[in-house]
Amino acid sequence: MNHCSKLRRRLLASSLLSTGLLSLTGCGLSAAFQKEPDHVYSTTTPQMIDEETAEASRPVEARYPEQALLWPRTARSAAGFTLRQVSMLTPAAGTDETEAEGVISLVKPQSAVPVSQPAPAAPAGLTRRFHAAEPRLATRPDGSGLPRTNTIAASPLADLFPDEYLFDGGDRAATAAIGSPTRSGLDSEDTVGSFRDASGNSRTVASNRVAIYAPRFGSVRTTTGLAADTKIDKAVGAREAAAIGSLNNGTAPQASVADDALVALESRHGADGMMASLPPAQSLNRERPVQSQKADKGRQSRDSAAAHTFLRKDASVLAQQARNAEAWTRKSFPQIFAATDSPSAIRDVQKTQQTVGVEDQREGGVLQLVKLADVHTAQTGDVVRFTIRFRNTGELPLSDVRIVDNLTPRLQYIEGSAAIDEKHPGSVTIDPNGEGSSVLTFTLDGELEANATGTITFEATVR
Amino acid sequence: MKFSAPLLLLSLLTAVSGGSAAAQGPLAGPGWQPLNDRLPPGYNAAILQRIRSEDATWLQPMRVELPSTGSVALHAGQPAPAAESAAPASFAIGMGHLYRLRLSELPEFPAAEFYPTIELLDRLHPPAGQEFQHPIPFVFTADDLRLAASGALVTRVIYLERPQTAASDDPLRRERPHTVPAGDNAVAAAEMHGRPLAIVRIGGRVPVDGQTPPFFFGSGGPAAAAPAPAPEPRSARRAPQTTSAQQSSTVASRH
Repeated sequence: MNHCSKLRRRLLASSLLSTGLLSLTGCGLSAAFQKEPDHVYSTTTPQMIDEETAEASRPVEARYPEQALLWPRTARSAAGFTLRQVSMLTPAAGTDETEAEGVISLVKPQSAVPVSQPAPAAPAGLTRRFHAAEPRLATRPDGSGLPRTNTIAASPLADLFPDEYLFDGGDRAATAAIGSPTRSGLDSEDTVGSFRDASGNSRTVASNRVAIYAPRFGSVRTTTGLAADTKIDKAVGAREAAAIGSLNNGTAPQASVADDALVALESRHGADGMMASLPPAQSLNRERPVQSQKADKGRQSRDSAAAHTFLRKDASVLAQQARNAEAWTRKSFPQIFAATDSPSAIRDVQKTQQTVGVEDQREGGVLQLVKLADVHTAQTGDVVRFTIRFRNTGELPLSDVRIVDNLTPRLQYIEGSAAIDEKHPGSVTIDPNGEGSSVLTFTLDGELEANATGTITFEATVR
Repeated sequence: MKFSAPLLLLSLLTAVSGGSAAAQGPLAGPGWQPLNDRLPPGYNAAILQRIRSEDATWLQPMRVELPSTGSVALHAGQPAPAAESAAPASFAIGMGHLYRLRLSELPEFPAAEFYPTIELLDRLHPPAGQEFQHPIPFVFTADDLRLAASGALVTRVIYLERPQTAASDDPLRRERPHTVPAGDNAVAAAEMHGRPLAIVRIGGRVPVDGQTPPFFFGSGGPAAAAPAPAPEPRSARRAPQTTSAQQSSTVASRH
C-alpha cells in the first residue's frame, strides 16, 4: 500500500512537472535557446579588402557567459566560419540519465558536429524540445526576411538582436532592381550597385551589411489619477466617456484601495511637499458628479453639431440636383467618326548563312561591393564615415555603373561629404528617401575596366 | 498531499498559456499580451524572470536623467540606498526585479522628493567592454514630476526602438511624449514600436521613517553603482550642432 501511494505521488509529480515545464519550454525556456542563430555567422572579410583595412575592420567575436553555459562552441574552421552545436534536451544514448522523473537537464554532446550535418533523431516517444532561434525581426516562411548578405559587426550577436544595432548595406526585404530610369525594391538600409555587362544585360548586386551597435530608446506614457483625467477631459469631450469607463472598470478605485491598504504611506497633494492622509474616497466622491455633468454637456454639443451638418448636406444636395436639371435640358449634338484601315501583307523570307568569327572566351564582369564603417559602436550625434569599395571582378568592362545607398532613417547624410576616388570620374546625387533620410546615387561617367577597383566615401550623423 | 499551491498554480497557468505563447514568445508579435502596465509593480518582471533562463549575474547598466540637476538614490529592497549619485546617475540593476529610486534636491521642486519604481523587463547585449557606454536611459521630465506632485500616477514603458521603423527624431526626448489613454495597455503599445525594456511608475507615495515595509523599496534584486567613467575607446567624432537640411541636389565629385 505504501509502495502504491509513493508510486502515485511520483506519477502525479511527473505529470505536473511535465505539463508545466513543457509549456515553459514552449513559451519561456525557448527564449533561453534563442541565442543560437538559424544561419551561420561569417566573420570573414571579403578578400578584396586591402590587408591593412581588413585588419582594422575585422570584427571581434564576443563571448557571452550564457553561451558558455548553454552550449559548447567549437573552434572555427579553416573556411572562417564558426560552427556551433546546440545540445538537445532529450536524453541521448550513452549518457548518465538513470531516472527520468520529470527532470530536464542539459546533455553534453560527446563531440562537436558541424551545423551542416543533420541533428540526431530524437528517441521514439520523446518530443524534441529544442526550438530554433526566433529572430527579433519578422521573417516570411521562405526566409526572405533574413539578410542575404554577410554582416560585419562588432559581435556575432548582431544577427540575434538586430534591434540593438543600426544596419546599413545589403538588400533588405524586397529584392532591389535598379534600372534606368526606374528602380524598385530599394528599401532603407539597402546598398546596391547596378551595371551593364559586356552582353548588354543590366544587373543589380548588393553589398555586405555593416552593423553598428547604437541602440535607441523610446517610451510610452500613460497617466492615471483624478487630476490628470479632469485636465484631459476639459480639452476633448470624447475623452469623458473613456474616463468614466475606466472608473467603472475599477482602475481608479483599485489605486485608491492600494493607497488605503499600505500602512504608513502618505500621499502628496502638492508640489510644496505638504503631506496629508486624506482618504482618496472623498476625492472620488467629489469628482464623480462633475464628470457626469461634463459628459452630458458633451453629448448635447455633439447632437446640435450633427443637426447643423445634416441641414448643410441637404442644401448641397438640392443645389446639385438643380445643376443636374439644367444640364439635362441642353441639346447635345453627338458626332460619330468612322475609319477604315487597310493592312498590307508583308512576306519575308530568311535564309541561314554561315558565320565565321572568333569567340571571346573572357569571363564577363561582375560588380562587387564591400561596405565598411570606421566605428563598430556609436551614439546619437556621432559621425560615422562609410566606405564603399567597388570592383569589377571579370575580364570585360562594365558600363552604366551606379551605386545606390538608401540610408536608414537613423542616419543623416552630411552634405558635401560624398566623394568618389580620383581614378573614376562621376557624380553624386542626393535625394530624400521619403523616410527622413537620403538616397545617395553614385554614377560613374565611363566604363569600369576589368579588375579595376575604386572607393566611395561619405559621412553620416547617427540620430 | 504535500504538493504546494504555488507549484500547482504555476503548472496550470503555464499549461493554459503555453499553447498560444509558445509559438510567438511572450513579447513577439500581435496577439495575447500577458504583460500589462496596470499589474502591480514587479509582476511583469517576475513573470518574465520566471519563464526565462537569463544569466542572473548580469547587471544591466541604467542611467537616470533629471530635468536639470538633483540627487538620485537607488534602493534595492532596503531603506538604506544601495547606491547614490548626482544626476545624471548611472547604476546597474538586475533583470526581473523591482527597484525604488529617490529623486531629491531638484531645483524645479525644492521641497519635494519623488520615489519612482523601476521594473526591469529585458536587457541589452552590447559588445564586450561597451556595457556602460550604452545604458538604458530613464528620463524624468519636468512634466512627469509635476503630474506626480499633483497626485497622478505617471507610467512610462521604456522600449528599445526597432531600427527599421525608427523615426527621424529621438522618441525618448521628444517634446510631446507618446501617450496612450489610461485604460490601454502601455506595454502592448510600446511593443508596437520595439522591445519593452522597463516600466517606470512615478506616483505620490513616500516612505515614513521606521514604519515603511521593506517591499516598498523593491524586490531585493542585485544592484551596483556604475564604475568610474573610463576614457572612451571609440574613435567616433561628434557632429556639429547644426546640420544642413536634406534636399535634392547634385554634387560634383572631388577630382
